Amino acid sequence: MDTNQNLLDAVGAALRAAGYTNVAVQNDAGGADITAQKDAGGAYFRVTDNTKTAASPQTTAGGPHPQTAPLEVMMAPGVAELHTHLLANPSLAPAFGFSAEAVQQVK
Amino acid sequence: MSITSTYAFLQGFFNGIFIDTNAPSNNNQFGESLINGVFTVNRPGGEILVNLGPKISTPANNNLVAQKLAALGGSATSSIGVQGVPWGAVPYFFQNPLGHQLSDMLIRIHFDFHIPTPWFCSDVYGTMSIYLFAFLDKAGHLQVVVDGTWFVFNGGGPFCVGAVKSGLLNAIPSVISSVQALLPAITSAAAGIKFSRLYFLPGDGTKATIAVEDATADLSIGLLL
Repeated sequence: MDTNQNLLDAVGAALRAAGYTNVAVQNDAGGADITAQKDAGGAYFRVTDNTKTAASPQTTAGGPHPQTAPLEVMMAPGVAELHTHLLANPSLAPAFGFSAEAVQQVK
Repeated sequence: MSITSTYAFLQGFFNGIFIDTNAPSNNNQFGESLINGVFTVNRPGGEILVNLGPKISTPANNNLVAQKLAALGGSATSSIGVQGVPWGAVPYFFQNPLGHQLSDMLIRIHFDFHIPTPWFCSDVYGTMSIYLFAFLDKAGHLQVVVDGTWFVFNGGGPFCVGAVKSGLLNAIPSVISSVQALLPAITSAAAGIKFSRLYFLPGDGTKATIAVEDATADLSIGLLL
């Protein structure tokens, strides 16, 4: 990383010369970042050994789709014993795809 | 003739590979039990079976998925799968826990995708799921509605997560419209018929003596008058 360290030092110096403050270097498993601030703006620079391993946590999104009218449900598919099983033994929850918190939620 | 179907799930309830054994039964009453993770259903002779996989994972629908992903610069990495999921295992359960009974099951339509990113980001690999709720209404008619959507992806770091997430969120209304257009095909075999019961069967609902199937890929609805 000597070459990269020299590069980081040079970038940091360039940012300071351009009037940026709070120049900070953060190292991680994939490389290093430099961040800096100038007034309401900022700068970001990253050096990495592998562009396709940049870490990011799993991203999720979604939710229920609103119904246009209340559903008049007489019967829905389900396993009647499932509720009883899970309430009696929440440790079974993972085998059914539930989190233990999900079982607690409807106790 | 009634059939007793026994489903032994090897990778979780209505998930992944399962072994299905079927035997003739003299009991013409519907019944189901869940013992030690083995799900047994007594299926009366009058059962109407709706196998959802072939109705949903058609070449046309897989092409439609491919087109929608291409609009985001991505591609599908799986065909469309159809799975039964207990309500408590639906990812948005915590947004409205009392939206259904805990023992209710929903239909999950899902596909995997890959979205390439610029060189400074890792590529995105994820899964899109659309959840349907099937039920008998007060008249005993089969109804299926879109219940919700969920996507999960890995990658996109360090700069592209927001753009990918926004693109997927923006695509969801169009995905929902496409799925809603499929619903008549799902219910057409049962249209106008008054039923007293509906239930899920993993896989294609075969009555063969023994079968090995994938519950993540296919799901059937059983209906009784």
